[in-house]
This record gives sequence, C-alpha cells and structure tokens, in this order.
Amino acid sequence: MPSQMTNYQCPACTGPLHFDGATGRLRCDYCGSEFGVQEIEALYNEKLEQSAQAAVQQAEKEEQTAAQQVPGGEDPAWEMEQAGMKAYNCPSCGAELICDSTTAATSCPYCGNPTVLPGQFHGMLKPDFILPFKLDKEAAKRALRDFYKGKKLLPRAFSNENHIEEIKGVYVPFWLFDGQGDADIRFKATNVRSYREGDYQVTVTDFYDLRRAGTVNFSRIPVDGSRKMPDAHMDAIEPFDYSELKPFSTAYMPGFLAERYDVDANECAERAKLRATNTTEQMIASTATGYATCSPVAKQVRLRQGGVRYVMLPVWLLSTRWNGKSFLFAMNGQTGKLIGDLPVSKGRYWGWFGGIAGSLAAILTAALLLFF
Amino acid sequence: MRKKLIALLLLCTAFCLCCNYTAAAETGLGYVTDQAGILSDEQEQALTETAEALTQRYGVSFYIVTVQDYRDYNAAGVDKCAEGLYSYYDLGSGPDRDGVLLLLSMSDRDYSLTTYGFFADYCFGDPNKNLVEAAFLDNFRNNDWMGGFGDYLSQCDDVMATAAQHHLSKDSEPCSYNGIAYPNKTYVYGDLRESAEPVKMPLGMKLLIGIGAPCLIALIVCSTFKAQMKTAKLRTTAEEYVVPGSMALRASDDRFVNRSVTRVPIPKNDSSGRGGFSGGGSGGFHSHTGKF
Repeated sequence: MPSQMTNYQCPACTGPLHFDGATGRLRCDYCGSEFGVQEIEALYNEKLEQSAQAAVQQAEKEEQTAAQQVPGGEDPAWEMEQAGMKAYNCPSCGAELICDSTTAATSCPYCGNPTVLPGQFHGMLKPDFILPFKLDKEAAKRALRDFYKGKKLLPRAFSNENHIEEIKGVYVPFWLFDGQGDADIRFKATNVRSYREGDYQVTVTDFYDLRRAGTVNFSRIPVDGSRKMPDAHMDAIEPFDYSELKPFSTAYMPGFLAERYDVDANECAERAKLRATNTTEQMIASTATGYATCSPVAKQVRLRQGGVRYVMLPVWLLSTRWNGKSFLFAMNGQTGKLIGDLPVSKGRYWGWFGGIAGSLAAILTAALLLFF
Repeated sequence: MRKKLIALLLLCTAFCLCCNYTAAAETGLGYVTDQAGILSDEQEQALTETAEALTQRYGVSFYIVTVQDYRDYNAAGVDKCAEGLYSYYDLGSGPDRDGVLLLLSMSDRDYSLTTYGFFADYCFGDPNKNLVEAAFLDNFRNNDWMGGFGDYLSQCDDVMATAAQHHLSKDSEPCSYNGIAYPNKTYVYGDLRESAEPVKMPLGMKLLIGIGAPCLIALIVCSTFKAQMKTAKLRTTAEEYVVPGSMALRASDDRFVNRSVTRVPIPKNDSSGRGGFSGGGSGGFHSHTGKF
C-alpha cells in the first residue's frame, strides 16, 4: 500500500523547491523565490510530523493486514516489502512511486518534484546532523572532466565520448565514531657505531629494550552506513569539513536523493576501530626514535569507543558506461574531491612502455657500445 | 747506564749504515752498478746503454745493482736494502721518481725487484713482476748474469710497450711521460700482459644493461601512470581524525640490555708474488724478493 510522502513547495507559487548548495537556501524552480532553511522548516514542521505519524499508522496497518494474510500470498505490499521495496504516492501528481525501503529522499519520475519520505527519519532513524551540499551538478561534471586530464593511460574514446550515464547528488548515511586508542608496544632496538682502532675496525652494537604506552583521541571517524555505497569510494572522498555540520533537517534534501542507513553502528564500528588502532599504533611507535634499528616484538592495541553520531553527508555519484563496463565516480559534495577507477588502455600502456624503454635503450646501448 | 749503551749502539748502527751508503755513493750509482763484480766492463756498458734507452723512451728508470751481501748495507732484508739505495741515491724519473730496481745479493743468492713511483707501480703490478722474474730467474740460476739482466731489461721493455699501447692514465687525468701521451683509457691494475686490448665490458653485459635498465625504468613509469587510474581505495588509518595534541604517553622506557663489540682486522692490499715475497712496501716501494 502506498504511504505518505512530502515535497517542499514554494509558499509563493507551490512550485517545487530545491536546496541550492551555493547559497545554502531553498529555491523555487518556477518563480525563483528563495527561502531560508529555517523558514521552510517552520512552515513544514507540522506537515512533516503529520506525515510521520501517518507513516507510522500506515506501517502498523500494513503489519496488521500482513498478519491476517498467509505469508507468501498474493498481497502486493507484502511482496514489495519482501523485495526490499516500498510504494508511495507523489503528493504533487498522485503517481505511485516504488522506492527502495531505505530511500529517504527522491524525485517523482512523472512530475519531477523532489520529495522527502519523512518516515525514514523518524525516531531512532533521525540523523543527528546533516552536511549540506555546497557544490552543484555542474561542478561535479566539471570535476569529472578535470579528473580525466593528465591520465596518460586513459583510452581516448573514453574521455572523448564522456557520456555520463547518470549523475545524482546523494545524502549518504554515515556513522561518526569518537574513541580513544590505547597502545602498549615493546620494541627491540639497536644503536651501532664503528671506528678504526689501529689495524682493526671496531663495531660496537648496543641493544635496548623499549616500551611505549599511551593513548590517542579520535574524533568523528566516518564510516558509511549504506550497503549500496562502495566503501572504497566513500573512504577515498574523505575528509569532510565537520565544522559546517548542521542539525538535521529534511529541508536540506529537496533536489537530492537520500538513503537511511542499512548498516548499523555496531557493524560499522569494526572499520572505525581498525583505522583508529592502526593510527594509534603508528603514532605511539613513532615516539621510539634515536635508534639505528627498532622493531616491535609485542603489542597490545585497543580502542575505547566513545560517542557515535548519525549524519548525512553530501556525495555526488557519477556513473558512465564504456565497452559494456560501468564506471562509478564519487565526488565529495562539500570539498569537490573526486575519485573513481578509470579504464586502462592496453595500447597506450604498451605505447608508453615501448616509447620510454626504446628511447632509453637506444641512448644507453649506444653509449655503452661507444664508451665501454 | 744500560739505556745509554743502547743509544750508543743505535747511533753506531746508524752511522755505519750511513757510511756504507756513502761508500756506495762515492762509487756512484748509474743504471748498472756491479759491486759484486759479476759483469765485464763491456757487459756493464751494454746493459747501461739499454737501460738508459728504456728510461728515455718510457719515462721510467731501470736499474741493475749487484752487491756481495745486502747486509753490508741494510740487514733488515734485501728489499729494504734496495729501497734504501733507491732513496739514498734519489733514483727514478719524473716528478714521481718512477723506477724499477733489480738488486742481486750474491752471498745468499737473494734478489729484490723493487718499483717506486705511481706510474712504475701501475705498470709493474704483481702479474708483471712475476713475468719479469720468470724472465731472469732461469738465467741467474745457471749463473748466466748477462743473459738474466738482458732478459730483465727486455721484459721490462715489453711491459712498458704494452702499457704505452693501453694509453695509461692516472686517476682519469691524461698524462704524459717523456713525450708519450697517455689519454684517458681504462686500465686494470696488473692486467697488462694478459690482455692486449683495453679491458672491455662483455657484449652480453652491455645488452643486458642497455635493454634491461630502460625496461625497468619504463615499467616503473608505467606503473605510476597505472596507479593514477585507480583512486578508490579503502582507508586503513585515521590520522585526519586525531584530536590535535591528544596523544599522551604514559610509559616511555628505554632500557640498555647489553653491548657487543666486534673487532675485524682491516685487510691489507698486499698480494703474494710467485716464487717470492711481495711486500706492500714502506714509503711507496713495492718489492718482490726471492732466491735465484
């Protein structure tokens, strides 16, 4: 059964509103009016609460209906739930939208109006903070074009065709972990000095046992909480500037997609722990200086986990297709850092290899034959 | 009293040595000095002319000295005697006083083949000294003095001629001795006789270096290019998220455990000569000694 959804409409003309990252305000596509986030929030707060309540009631109703029916029966809502999908009605045109169960913000494919599914951020699912987009779609396209530049092994056809199959701004759910790394490491170290004494070369080696123990505090290590997002891409676009975090509001979402988390904090904590313990070990070990050699012989590194925050961070996702393969690029929607794996042209690879090796070989061989 | 006696003895020994060298000096020390009297005047004259010609041609002096007993001059050894004579008479040619001296001591049939000066040492490495020794020893063992000295000079001529063909140089700086120019060329110490050509890198090695090294460089460059194509990587550290100044050490112990000391003798550059003793030489002398 379809459930409730909200779209932000212009108070002046009821046209759809989009969040404009450059100005940090909501802008009407039709009349050009701009509104502050807080202004729209206040306007829509009541509406959102009603929508959320409606969503909860709808969910309860669905549960009751599902309980009365035999699982695996012919109820379409139940089948969609099983498939991880949900159905909503667009508040603008009334069309039925089928979304992933984790989708929190999207746009109607019929009328194009950006819509927010408030039930996705209700109660425990509500993020603590949101980092609004600062860069728009054009900036993402430009960044991709710039990204191609200087890549000597990129196939010419790939960069020339440059057809972006899809580009979307997504608020990706992240968990931010605080914690304190604690390391206790023992090392074996040596210092060596050598000098001449008469007809003998004397080498003196001093052996030491070292111990370093200490703590390092970490603040807001991000780990993405969405299974759809490739972890390598999300890691590589770090860091984000957390000083611009805002208290969460769905008013920042119109015009972008959003997902609620589907990997919980406990599961994500393992990755944060790994990163923190590695850095703790490195930092504590870096204090063992002044020795010719120093190698760890025993270590105990652990992380005392602190607070966890649930935030939505802005990411532009750009996908292209070439030679039957998909290539996904991710850009930090705040800083503009773009990453992604590019195809390697074998022809160019061997061309460069042959060119460098051939020219150097010609010069070097000629020199060797002439002078040695 | 005992110290005074030792000092007096040392003084007397020094005086005697000085007198002995002085006695030899009075008789002069030409290219050929036959104190032992084993050569006729004609033979001495012929050998002198040959040695003088070689000296003028190559810029390295060649000497022949015979004594009855080297101990009359220096009891420390036949090589020390030869070195003493060389120094005392200020022998040799050119700024480095390059020269080769063959000393025969007849009483115990000892000989010393001594070289001095960079260029002479360079040309007469151990292998070439062995060649020269091989040339004269059989004659001397048969008491063929003239034949032995003739072969000595002849072999020296060969060695120097080969050196000239190889355009020897000192420390990669072109040098010239008595009009013979020696531009930069590779030279392996003591290897003149074995190789008629300058020592060259084998062709296989040249090709290996000429092709292998560029391929390796190209591989490194292309790998760098390839690495630029893959930028999506998982992070394993979190240094950006360290709270500034938050690192606190609660234990920092450095404990000395023990010390090991190894003493390795420094190898000397001496090498043994065939049929005799090769000494690194004091004061720049290099000698081969033995019996004939």
